[in-house]
Amino acid sequence: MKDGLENSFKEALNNFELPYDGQAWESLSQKLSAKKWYQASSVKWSAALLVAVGLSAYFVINSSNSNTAKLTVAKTTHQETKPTSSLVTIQKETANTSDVQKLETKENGERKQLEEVPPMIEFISEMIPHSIPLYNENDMNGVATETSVNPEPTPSFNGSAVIYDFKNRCQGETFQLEGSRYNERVVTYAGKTLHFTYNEAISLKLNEVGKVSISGNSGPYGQYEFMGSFDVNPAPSISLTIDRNLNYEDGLPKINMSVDATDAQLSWVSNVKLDTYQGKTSNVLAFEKGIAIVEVQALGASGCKSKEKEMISISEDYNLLAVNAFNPQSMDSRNSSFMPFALTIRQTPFKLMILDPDNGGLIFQSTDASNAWDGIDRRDGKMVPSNKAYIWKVVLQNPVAGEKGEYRGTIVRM
Amino acid sequence: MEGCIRGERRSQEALFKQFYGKMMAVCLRYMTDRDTAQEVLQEAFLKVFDKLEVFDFKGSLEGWIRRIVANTAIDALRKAKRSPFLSDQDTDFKQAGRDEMVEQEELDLLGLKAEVAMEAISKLSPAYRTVFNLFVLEDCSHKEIADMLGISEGTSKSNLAKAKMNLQRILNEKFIHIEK
Repeated sequence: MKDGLENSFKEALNNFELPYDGQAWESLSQKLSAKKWYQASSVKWSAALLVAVGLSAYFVINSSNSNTAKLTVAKTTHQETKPTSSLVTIQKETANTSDVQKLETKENGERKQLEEVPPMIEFISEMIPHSIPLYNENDMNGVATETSVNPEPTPSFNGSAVIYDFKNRCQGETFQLEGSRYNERVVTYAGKTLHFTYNEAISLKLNEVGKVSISGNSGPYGQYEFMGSFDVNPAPSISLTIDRNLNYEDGLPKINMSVDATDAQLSWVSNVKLDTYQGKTSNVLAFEKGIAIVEVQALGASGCKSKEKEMISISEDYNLLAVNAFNPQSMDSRNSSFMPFALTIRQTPFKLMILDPDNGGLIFQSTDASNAWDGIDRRDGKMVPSNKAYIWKVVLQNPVAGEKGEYRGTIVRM
Repeated sequence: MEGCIRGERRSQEALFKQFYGKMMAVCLRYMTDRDTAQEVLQEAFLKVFDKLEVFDFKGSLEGWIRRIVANTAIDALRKAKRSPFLSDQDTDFKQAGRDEMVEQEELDLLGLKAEVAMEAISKLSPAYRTVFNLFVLEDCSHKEIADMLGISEGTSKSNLAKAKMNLQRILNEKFIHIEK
């Protein structure tokens, strides 16, 4: 429970706001330009990946003398058990052919800091879009980060080798295994063979569809034996398209969204109301000015999921598309009477009232969209004075989900 | 592609614009210097845009952004000083006499103005200010505060009590000043 002083401060500051400073956005915008170019879409992500792969290939080819440096990135060697020198050689050779970017290892549960990574690699990791969680991404200071979906099973020791649960996994997941005191392991995946020595943890970003096979030896001079394998199933590929303009089909404020996906079950989530939460298309019901966050999730046949999230700004409050002035003398029938436009197309029961701003008297009332206000004051049958603003109020009998039931505004009789 | 980026940037600007006022107020409660607060705010919004992926629709968007802003502010304080939350020089802290205290009824009656509240908070030392902000304005428990700041629960409680004593004194001076 908070005491009086605490409540006073909370009350005073709860909704305290400082005036907007346009300059602040300018400088933030510059920072965004400097770092955002690669994040805009999956197409760019692929492009970045190509560049990254190209760079790492270049790096591998051109740095035959920098094995050690590369190894600190790709692998952290264990400290407890010292490998024999011949094993070190094997390790270096296999690491040489490995795709540096996809392979990260951890030891003793400690996450490797980005700062330890040599500049070139840092550049490569920088290009991985943040929408795909990095394994060694720093703690988000309390913001729930997406951690690996399936906690890895604890290996059990049967006397000679460690047994694992080889369930299938999804593209995009990270495969992690603790280091083993009892054997070295070799993993083959995506055309690569990776060697992991004693106590060395395995962490693989499963970016490619295919099979992951693991072999292990039973001791320093033991034979490598096949331990098991699992499949990396494809995650459905999706592409979300948003028409960011407000569209008033059916008189309702909608922002059209559609997603391109095959063989996937689609569902939508948002912080604002949508008109449907299933299927390939949906609409944001943009009743209030503000920010809508929309996420579409796709569940593929293999049980793997993909998702895409977008932010949409809603620039104005919806007010039944009512005009703010009319002229009863106009020859144009569209201007000569007043009826909020949305009511003429929405086919929804309502009550429109026109009120006198001076005394709150009821000037006009209608429940029929074809019966618009023609400027006559029903109290005395006369035309209301011109160049004056009147209050209109609409009560909807059945507002749609997420919609308020009452609207109001002013209308000037010209 | 261009249009897509432009659209995204427009949404980002709209988001920034919508929450700037409130979030800047949050920053200014943690750092009294406006430039630093501005920097913290920008850093926080970069995180917001980056981390939109992890927003899970469970709480409100505003609450989520606010948490990022507060955490960014605390991080910035932590970086600026080695252990800013642990202790404070108590030189400016003195127990206000009961009769000099602003009576609660008086506060309720006058209504505490936001600007006065901000000014009073800005006069607290960082250690007191941070605990007061987290406990009173972000509704964190002493346990959460202790974990977040790396202090003990006891320190959190005592810093809160001292923060409140000091606020009483500051308000008191303020009200006397106004009367004069």
